[in-house]
Amino acid sequence: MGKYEAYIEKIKKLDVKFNEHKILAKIEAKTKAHRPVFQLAFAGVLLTALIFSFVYFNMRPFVFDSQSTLSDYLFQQEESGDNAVLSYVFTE
Amino acid sequence: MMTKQDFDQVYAEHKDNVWRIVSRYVFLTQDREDLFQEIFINIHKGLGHFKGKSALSTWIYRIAVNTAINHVKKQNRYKWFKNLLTNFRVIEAEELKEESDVSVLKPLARLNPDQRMILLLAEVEDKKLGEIAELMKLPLGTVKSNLHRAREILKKEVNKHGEI
Repeated sequence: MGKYEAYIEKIKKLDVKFNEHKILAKIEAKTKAHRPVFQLAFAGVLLTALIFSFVYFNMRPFVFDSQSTLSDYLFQQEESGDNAVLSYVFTE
Repeated sequence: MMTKQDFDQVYAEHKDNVWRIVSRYVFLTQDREDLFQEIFINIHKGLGHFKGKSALSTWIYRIAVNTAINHVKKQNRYKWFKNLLTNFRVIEAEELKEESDVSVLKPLARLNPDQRMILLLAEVEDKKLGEIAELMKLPLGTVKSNLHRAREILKKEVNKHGEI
């Protein structure tokens, strides 16, 4: 028998022990676990709604009207009327 | 609908065959356990869709063979990234130890994932070339040429290392 054939015989006879309990426990854990699809979808929709409402109510001037952000701010300050520097700017 | 009993029965009947392939195809204990687990999870996922066109044992063989090949190819794809992490000392070099913990399998590490599987199926599992081609969904000619090349490489390795 040549070296190669002897080698193949060795591989055939090879007996590698395995920790079946450990592996089986892992397989069972993975096959039993189910993804909470509906809960995840609901949480996703809720989160999107929250983000959208936050953006809509708090960042509307920046997001929806970027043309006159600075002037809006200045005139807002003027309307409040209690800013000495701004009132000077506008009266001058 | 597949029940737990069905899966348990399939597991009990086929675990030894699957382990025989896995224990020769990958070389580290952790890899073997991961691959074995991955194969049975794939079997669990697919069992409900098994139509019985082929024998159950053939179907399981096919899942085992293809999961094993994909597992090793995936590992090879991320090897460069692991090397990078080792260079930056993000992971320990020992985690990259790729030498077999069963020294007799070392020469098989010289074969690419397809060659290694074809050689094991042909020489160790005594599968016919046509069966291997069907299991791996490869043309018969590709199987033949890979087997020829694998034998050449392995003979060289065995001669180089002498008694393994």
